[in-house]
Amino acid sequence: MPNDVLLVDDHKIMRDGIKAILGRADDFRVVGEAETGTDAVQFVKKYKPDMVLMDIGLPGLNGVETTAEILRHHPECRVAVLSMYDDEHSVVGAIRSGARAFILKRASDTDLVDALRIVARGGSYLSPQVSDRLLSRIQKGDLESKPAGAALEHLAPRELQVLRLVADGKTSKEIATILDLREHTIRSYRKTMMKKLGVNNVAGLTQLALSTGLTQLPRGAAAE
Amino acid sequence: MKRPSTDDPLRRVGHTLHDDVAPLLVAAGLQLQLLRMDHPAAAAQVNEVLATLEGAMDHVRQLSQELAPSPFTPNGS
Repeated sequence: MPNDVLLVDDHKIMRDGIKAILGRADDFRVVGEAETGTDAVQFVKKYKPDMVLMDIGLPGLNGVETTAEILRHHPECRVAVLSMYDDEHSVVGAIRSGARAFILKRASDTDLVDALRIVARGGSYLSPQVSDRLLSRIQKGDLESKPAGAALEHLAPRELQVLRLVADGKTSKEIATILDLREHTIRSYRKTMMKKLGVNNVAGLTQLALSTGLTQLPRGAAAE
Repeated sequence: MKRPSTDDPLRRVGHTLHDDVAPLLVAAGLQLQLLRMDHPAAAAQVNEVLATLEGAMDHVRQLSQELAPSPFTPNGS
């Protein structure tokens, strides 16, 4: 029986290509496509696919956040992350969110089907370029173990999601829509975060998110 | 991935490479892989094109990362 797969990528041309490749493999069946993290979470809640192939660089809720959100609703789901970048922060972020595979997007021979087969069997997978780089960093002893600053250690995953979206300039109403929560819940998260982080306003949250690398402003722009 | 607009032309180029150019190269690679599956006799020629494409992709990836680092990189800019 084939594994039901949801494809999540904001580029239709990518989804079409991946769908065609998976269409040649008898053990996978693409049952849905989503352009955004929010749509992907809704799909998973409704249809509970076996696997999700997730682009890491999604607009709004990014691939790492979407993976965490999907696994909160459907813990048995196996998520494989696809990424253009192979930096350790992307890799560590994806694995910490619960992804079972980190696959580098390449133009030539893709390891996609092999990776998905391993994940479908309950295993884990890193693209060779990614594992080589990680091994090298571990051997040198300079692998950074935390993607964000120590100040954010006490925040729950959901609070980190809200913090990043606040720092991205989203209103409570917009965040509520993206995360499928009530507006007053978002306001409550903001208050709790301010208390935990010792800041008094949104500008303080934004500056903290920027200083820890949780989000970025375009070069040349200034934080509030 | 739509990003916040920026006045920095180099960063804008980095985003364009990542958001627009790279997906096209990867998609072209996927189509070539399908072509190779359908026409095994042409595998050697297809592999040559794929290798060329991968070379272009490596340059795009590197340049994109330098001009507009991954959003997951702390203080990447």
